[in-house]
Formats: sequence, structure tokens, C-alpha cells
Amino acid sequence: MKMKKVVAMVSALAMAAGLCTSAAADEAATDSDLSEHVEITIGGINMGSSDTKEGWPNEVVQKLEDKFNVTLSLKTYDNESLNLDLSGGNTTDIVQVNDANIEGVVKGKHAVNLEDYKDIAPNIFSDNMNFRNELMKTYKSNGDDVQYFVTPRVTFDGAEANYGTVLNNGYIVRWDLYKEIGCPEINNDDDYIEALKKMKEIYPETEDGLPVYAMSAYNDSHLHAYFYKGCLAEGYINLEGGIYVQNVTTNELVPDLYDEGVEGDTPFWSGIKFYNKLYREGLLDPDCFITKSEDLKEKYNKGQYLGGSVNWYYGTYNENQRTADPETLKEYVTLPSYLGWGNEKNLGGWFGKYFFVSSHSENVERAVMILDYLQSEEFSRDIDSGVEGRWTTDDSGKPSLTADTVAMKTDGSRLDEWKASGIGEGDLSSMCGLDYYNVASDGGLIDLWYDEDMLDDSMTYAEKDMCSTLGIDIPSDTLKKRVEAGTSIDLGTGINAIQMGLPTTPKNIVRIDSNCEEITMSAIPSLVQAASDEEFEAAKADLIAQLKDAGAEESVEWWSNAWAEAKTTIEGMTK
Amino acid sequence: MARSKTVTVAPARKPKKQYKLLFMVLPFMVIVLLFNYVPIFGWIYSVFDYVPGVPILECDFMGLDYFKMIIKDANVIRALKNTFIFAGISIILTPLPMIFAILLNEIKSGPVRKFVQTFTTLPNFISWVIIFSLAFSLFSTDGLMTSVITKITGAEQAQSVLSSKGSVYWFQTFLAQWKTLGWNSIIYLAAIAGIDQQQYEAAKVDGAGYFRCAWHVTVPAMMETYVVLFILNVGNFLNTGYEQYMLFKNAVTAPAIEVLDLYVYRIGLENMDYSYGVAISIVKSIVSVALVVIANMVAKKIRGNTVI
Repeated sequence: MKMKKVVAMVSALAMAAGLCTSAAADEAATDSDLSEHVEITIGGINMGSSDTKEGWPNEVVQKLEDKFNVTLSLKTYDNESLNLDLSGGNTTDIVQVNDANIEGVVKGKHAVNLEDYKDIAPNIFSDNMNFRNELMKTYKSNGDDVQYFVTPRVTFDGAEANYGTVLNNGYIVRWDLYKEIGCPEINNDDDYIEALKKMKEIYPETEDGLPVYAMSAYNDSHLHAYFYKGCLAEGYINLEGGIYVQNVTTNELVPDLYDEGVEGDTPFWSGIKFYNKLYREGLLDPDCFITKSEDLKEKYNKGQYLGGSVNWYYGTYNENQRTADPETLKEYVTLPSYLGWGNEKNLGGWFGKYFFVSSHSENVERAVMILDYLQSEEFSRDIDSGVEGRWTTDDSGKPSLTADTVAMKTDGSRLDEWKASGIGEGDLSSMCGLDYYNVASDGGLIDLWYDEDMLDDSMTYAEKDMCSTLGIDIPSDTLKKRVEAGTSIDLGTGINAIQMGLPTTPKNIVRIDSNCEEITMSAIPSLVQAASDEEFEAAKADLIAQLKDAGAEESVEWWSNAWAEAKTTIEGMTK
Repeated sequence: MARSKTVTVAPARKPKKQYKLLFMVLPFMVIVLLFNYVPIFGWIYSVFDYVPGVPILECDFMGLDYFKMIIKDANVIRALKNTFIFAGISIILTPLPMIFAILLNEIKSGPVRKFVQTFTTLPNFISWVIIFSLAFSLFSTDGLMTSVITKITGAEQAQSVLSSKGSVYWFQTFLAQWKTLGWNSIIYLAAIAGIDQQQYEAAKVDGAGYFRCAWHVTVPAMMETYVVLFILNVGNFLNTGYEQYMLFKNAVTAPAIEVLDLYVYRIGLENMDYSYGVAISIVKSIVSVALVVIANMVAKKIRGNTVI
């Protein structure tokens, strides 16, 4: 009996000691998780490199680095370098890929199963992300039914979008010239061309004597310049490559190039007709077919264009003008077209951007923690609105941007400081988890620039002038008014998650689509430069015949069936 | 009876093994092995449906399906046609560096000759990206050269040669020749330097002028070099490269400028259809080897000796 007591006592002591040791170990483990400084690299297709980013590491990155005891860097991948790294098993710790890479990543076992790290990834597996996570498990796991990927910018229930201060895409005009011609109303492409014509009459060449054109195309993005212009005019969103488009109102898939049997103009044909009209009016840059993005930027910087349809190219021009004269009216502004690119509901996040943690990473756990943090409300607020201090909360707990932050954005002389703040940094902004309009736990929007009270604070002098001239509060009210009047639509009715429900495109269909794209690229000059309607129709008939010969009908059949299936399933999931 | 005399012949000395020479050639053999033979392993991709990131043996086996696809692919025919045109023009222009070297050799002023030689050799070291930028500045619609040409011809509207389908072949050839002429002539200048000056003196004694000296002394002396280079050029007939054509490709020039190498690049690396790209490359390699063999046989027939 005595012996039993002794054994029991020893056992109890041993267990107690074990428990203490275990608790200490757990604590130590938690500590040791972050105690060692490691380098984490995020690589992505078309992502900028941190080596060439001004102000890197910015305030947002520094906060992340301090929090997780890491040095963070970004690496640019293109398809070739990514495939090389995948084949060699030496990708960056976190990788961003697109749909074309999913099969190789999963089959090649390059991604860790995020579900194995649920304990350290509360943001990825938060309830708000359930729908996104379900999509990833069902459609982006090659049938494994586990979650390898996350998407950025997921829209949560209750998010209420507005159109921001300015519009990004639509009918772009040089404000000073547009004002000078009396701000004629622009309701369609014809009105726009008429306005551009008048603007060119009063501004035929730049102050340096360079010729001025209405606009041009960017030829290094395949057909984008043409179909995207048409998407805005006709109310569609494009699938990657623009060979197929999704009707924003009905969510039906429409073949964009091979439009046999489609009523009305598809985006591509609408865009082509627009460029053809520009050509016939003598407004199109004669170098339209050889201009690449860099050339386009250069010509915008020299003030050689009067308009455009996207805001990617004239930013430097606007910045330069503001730096030279803070009260300049020489700025490009955007007026609404039929489709306003706003109120997008990314229930599954942004498609075509899938992040995973590499199974080859030397620091898988830390990489998962970083990826989880990128998905967090905290990081999303940081990247959209700046780190705390750039915004503050009032007595009622409501967050708002500080006056200094607002001033910094509009003051051209504080450009370096603005870049160092990290606010809105392009690549980080494309990897954070929450949509701009999601309501954060403090009751404010993730992106405080979209706060109703803030919208008019960040306007430039030209934008303020635009508002006072047009009798509106903020530039984007031009779209708001039109949507309310029913003459424009926004993206609110579009379910872009359907695109995520599509199966991997078979290689024979990829080949057909790629060939159709190439054939169409080559046909564009004869379409755009058609001197008459008859010539245009003849060129179109020729292209349609070529597309048919290239197998367009086989492609349309596959896409239509795949889309119908995905649409039914995704619509069921969203109900 | 004739007396026979026994002659003792010393045993022939075994040639010394030339290890030094072997060691000297070793690095080049390694380079050839690494960059010319090891990549042949990649041919295996042509019989699998390769998915980047997945080990090759885990990909679906396709047999000769991709080779069968080549026959049906109209783009291959178009690319092949463009390749033949560019390569054909290039072959026709092969005497150009030789002619240039002869002309250069006739410049008697040393500094002038050196200047011309340096000036014409430098473009070879300029990358195609830079050349494209220069060409864009000069030949775009607002470019300097286009403006000058428009003024000279009195045309109503400037037409950029960069977006002219009809100008593709001659303009690209012009750029390629401008870039490589000086560099390609170096080997002929070396051949000219090796010609015995007594031959020129003898020709002059016989009354030959500059042209006759060049025709009867210089050209025959350079023919050996020319034939070797010609055969190598024929071997590279289909290897036009793709950098130049990729940069100058746009919606207007695309149908005429896409050569086989560029098509393989587009299929393999842009569309990520690696296996099909490799299959086309294999066919191209086989045709190239066949061309070299044929050119070599023709050279043997004409000149009596072979190069390979």
C-alpha cells in the first residue's frame, strides 16, 4: 500500500512537472515562432519588385515586418520565371498565380493545405470568408476538396459601395479643354467623339508644337484596348483575354469576337466601331497600332492626347501639372459611360489572383501567418487608409483620415512622403483580404477615402472646379446621377464569382482561343481603317469567316456549356 | 646480282599525347555539351502533355500527337513562309559583308578606315530593344525620318514604315544588315590580311587595276571563307531568332513578321503550350541538319572538299 502511495505521489509529481514543462514549451513555441528573424518573399505575376519601389519598405510594410519579425520583399514573376521556379521547386514563400497556373501548382504539390494551419490563420478562415473558401475548395483544388488558395478583396455582407471621389474608367477628357468647349453632355460614343473633335479644334498641337490626337490604343495588352472600351459602352465585364464577356445585367456569357447570332454589338465590336469612327474623323493617333503602354504614357505626359477610356496612363501627367501649378486645370478627368465600374461585389474576391503558401518555403508557418495577416482587416485598413496615426478615431470611436493625410495626397510636393506612407500601394493593395467598402469592426469603412465625409476632401483643384462647373458635390456624382436616372448601370448586378466556377480550359480550346485572338489582332487595322461602312462590313465578314475556320464554334460550344453549369451552381451558392 | 643493302630503320616514334591541347579544348567541349547536347533531353516534352510544375513523367503521354498537329497547323505554314523569305533574303545578301570588306580594304587612309570599321561594327553590340526604341523615334509617324520622307515625297499624310505591312521584309532586312554588316565583315578583313602581297604586285605588273586586283586576287582568296560561312548560314536557315521580330511585331506587321522561332516562342512561352512548341522545334532542328548536310554535299561537288 505504502509502495502504491509512493508511486502515485511520484506519478502525480511527474505529471505536474510534465504539465508545467508542456505549458512552458507552448509558450516558448509561440515565442520561438517569431523570435527568429526570417526573410519572406511574395512573388506574383505582374507584381512589382520591391527593389524598384520608391519608399520601400513603406510604413505599412514596416509595421508588418515589426509585427512578424520578418523582412518582406516582393518579386516579379512572369509566366516563364514562375514556371521555371515551379519546376525547380524554389518558388517564393508566398506566390500569386492566375487560373492558368492552378493545375500545375496543385498537381505538382507546390501549395500547402491552408486547412492544416487553421490555428494560425483566423483571418483566412473567418466566417466572412466562408463563401470564398468554399469556392477555393470546390473549384481551385483540382478535385482535392481542400483549400490551397486565397483571393484578395473579398466583399462581405453589409458592404455598401459608393463610387469614390473620381471615376476610373469611362469617357476621359482633358478638363481645361472640355470646360473651354462648354462641357457638352456626353451620353454615348457619338457625343464623346463630337466633344473630342471640338477639343482638337481649339488645341490642335501642344505648347511644344507636337501634334494632338483624341486617343490611341495600347498594343501590348492584346485586345484589351478595344474590348474594354466596348465593355464600358455596352455593359459587360470581360473574362481574361476578352474573347468572352459576361453581361453585367443578366450574367449571361457572350462570345465577344465571333458574334454570330448575338443581338447588338458585343464589347469588342462596339470598341472597334468606336475606333473606326475616330479614324474616319481624323482623331486617332496614326501610330495607334504600334503604340505600347510606355509610348502611350510618354505621349500622355507630353499632353498629346485629349481623351481615353482608362486611368492607367495619365497619372504622371496630372501629377506633373499639379507639381508645376497646384491650381492647374490641366488634368484628365473621367466622365461616366454606360457602365460605371463601381459597386462591384467580389463575393469570392478578385478572380485571377490566387495566393498560396509554397510547400518549398523554409518558413511555411511564418508565411501562413503573413498570408493570414494580408487577409486581415488590420492590414486592409493599413494599406487603404494608412497605419494608425494617418487616421484617428473621434470621441464616438468613428475613424477618419487626418487633415494632414488628406493634404498629403493632393499636395504634389509631398509625393515622396505619400509614397513612403504606403497608402494605396498598388501591389499590396491587390493582395489584401478585404474589399474597400467592407465595414471594419470600428464601424468605419476599410478604405476611409470612401467615407462619405471624406469624398470631397481629397479632390484636386481641377476636380473641385469640375464640381462647381457641373453643379455636383464630387466628380463621381456624374455617374450617381445617371444610375439614379436609369441611363447608366454599375457592377452591382454582376456575379463575377461565376468565372471562378469554370473548369480548367482544355488545351485544344486554349489553342483555338489563342489563335482566334491572334487572327483578330491582325484584322484590327483593316477594321479600324475602313473608309466606309461597306468596307467595315466586308472586313468584319472576312474576320468572322477566319474565326470560324479556326474553330471558333467549337470554342463557343465548350464555353457556353461550362458557363451554364458554373452559373447554375454559383447562383445556387449565393442564394 | 645486285647487292642488297640492309637498311636499319629506326622504329617510328610514337606521337606524344597532346594532353595540353586536349585540356585547352575541354572547356569548349563542356560548353557545347551543356548548351547543345544536354537540352536535347528536353525533346522528351514533345511526347507528353506537359503541365508546368508537374514532374514530366506524371504528365499524360501523347505519343506523336503533337507532331501530327504540326501538319494541320496553318500558322506553321505561314510562319515557315515568312522564315523562308527572311532567310532567303539573308542568304542572297551573304556576299554583302565580303564586298564591304573589299571596299573597306581599298580605303588607303588608316584613320578613315578604322573609323568606318568601328562605326559599322558598333551597331552589332546594340540590343534589339534599343534599336526598336531608336526605330520608333525615327520612323513613327511623328518621327524624324518619317517627317523628312513625307516632305521629300510630298505625301499628304505621313505613313510610318513600322506600321506598313508591305515594308516588313525589306525594312527588317535593312535593320538586320545595318546591325551586323560591320561585324560580319571582320572575318573577311582577316582573310584579306592573310593574302600574300606579292600576288597583288604580280597582278599590278600584269596591268591590273583596283577592280581586277579585287576580282582576280582578293575574291578567290576569300572564297574558302565565304563557302564555309555560307554553309553555316544554310545550316542556320531556319534559325532566324525571334527578338527582332517580336519587338517589331504589331497588328499590321504580324502576318508577315511572325517567323518560326517567334511562333515557337508564342506557342511555348506565351501560351504555355510547351509540348507543342518543343515538337515544332524538333522538326525545325531536323530540317536544319538536313540543310547543312545538303549544303555540304553541294560544296563538295563544286569545290572538291567538304567543311564537315
